[in-house]
Amino acid sequence: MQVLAHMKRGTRWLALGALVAAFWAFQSGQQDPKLDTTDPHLLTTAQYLYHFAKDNDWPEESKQGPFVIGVKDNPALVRIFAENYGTPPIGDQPLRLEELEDEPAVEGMHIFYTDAQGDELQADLKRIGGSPTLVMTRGLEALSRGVTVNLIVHEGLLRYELNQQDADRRGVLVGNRITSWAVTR
Amino acid sequence: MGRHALKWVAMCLWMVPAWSLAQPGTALDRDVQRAILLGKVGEFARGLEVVEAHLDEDSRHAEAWFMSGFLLKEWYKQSDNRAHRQEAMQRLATSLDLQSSLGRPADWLPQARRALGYLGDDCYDDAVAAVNTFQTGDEAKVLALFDQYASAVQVLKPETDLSAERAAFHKNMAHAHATLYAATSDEVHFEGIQANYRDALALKPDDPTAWYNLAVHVYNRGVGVMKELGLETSLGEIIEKQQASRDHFSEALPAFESALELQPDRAEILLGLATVHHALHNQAERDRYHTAWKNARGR
Repeated sequence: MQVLAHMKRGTRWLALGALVAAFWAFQSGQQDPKLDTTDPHLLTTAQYLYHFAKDNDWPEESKQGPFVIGVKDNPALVRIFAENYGTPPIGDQPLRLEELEDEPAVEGMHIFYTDAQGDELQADLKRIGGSPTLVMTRGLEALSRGVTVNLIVHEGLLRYELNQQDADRRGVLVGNRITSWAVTR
Repeated sequence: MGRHALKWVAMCLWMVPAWSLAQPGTALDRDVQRAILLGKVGEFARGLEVVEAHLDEDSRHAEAWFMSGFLLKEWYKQSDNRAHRQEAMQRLATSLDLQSSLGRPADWLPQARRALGYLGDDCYDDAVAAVNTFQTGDEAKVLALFDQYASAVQVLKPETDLSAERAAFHKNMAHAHATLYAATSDEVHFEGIQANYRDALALKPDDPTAWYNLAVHVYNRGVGVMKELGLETSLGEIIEKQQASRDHFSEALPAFESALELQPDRAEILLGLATVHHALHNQAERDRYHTAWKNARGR
């Protein structure tokens, strides 16, 4: 009888142990990490924007007042830039990031970024004309006239191609580092 | 101390008559009683000496192995010296093994099994506690404790498959590494996350949670690399960081796919796949999984 009592108690302990183990093991399945939904390409794009602002040179008449980067229809890019890099000065000019929509006023803008293509892009380019504004696009099949820099996927990485003629036409002096890291198709 | 003495009394009541019936008047029987008495007064080392004398004469004396193991177990309970526990487990296992090879029952067998089970569970509890207070370098300690528990289980229930339990330990250690990685950003812990999830999956490849968690951690590391970009980052470094993060994304992709194979409709996995394909610039695949994710969420 004593042995039986021991065994019953032993069985109960075993069952309890198994329950605790199962709970612990189950808990381990409840520890799903959270997917980081920060868009890595926006981080890269923001970096490129900063480098294009910092490593190029604009005509003297553009060196008064704030250095303006306009970003059209991409508030996430503006947010990423502001959250990660703040508003660092560009040379002696304070940086101003502007979130643009639809048909924005582009006068006095140093960099104009847009994801637009086709007619919408052409309308934007028409508004910008030949002003000293570096026009930055993403994913164009070919570098259009009027576009200075186009982001493309090159060997699996987000790189940029450079339209030197357009930069010259706008009076933007492209820095050596910008030129050297540009890719061609 | 009162409870401790009571246990010894209970053991004497149960064991001594059993031995007396089995082997009346043998030298071992007398020494076992002497060892029990020595154990009762806390003279474990002397009690062991008495029993070990029989092992010196006959190293295959199952009962002597049991008694010495039992004394070490009681010594461990009093001293909390883990070396005693380990030695006790080995001796109890040896006693069971030897008796089993003789192919005949013995009155002390249930006691030996209970003692070994108790010590095995104790190791398991310590392994859990070690994971719950996990620090850098604790992995070997946790696994050693689990191995001790596993060896006890293998003796008591040889058919038991402990793969799931061992995998759970690896998953919990991966989680512990993730907590430490979030706090320290020390690369050692990121490697610990990966290694432990991979070990868990080697044991239990049909665990979608382990695949998913591994995938998310590796993917997040890729994003983390891009978040290291700062105002001082050069253009060359941007390219390097992109390549490094792409390597992580490429590694995360098959893990997400394995998770999806096991849970084809789980929204989180579909979102993960859409996200990693976007990161890898596979826009068509990204769109396909994004649509599937939206459908899964709507169900």
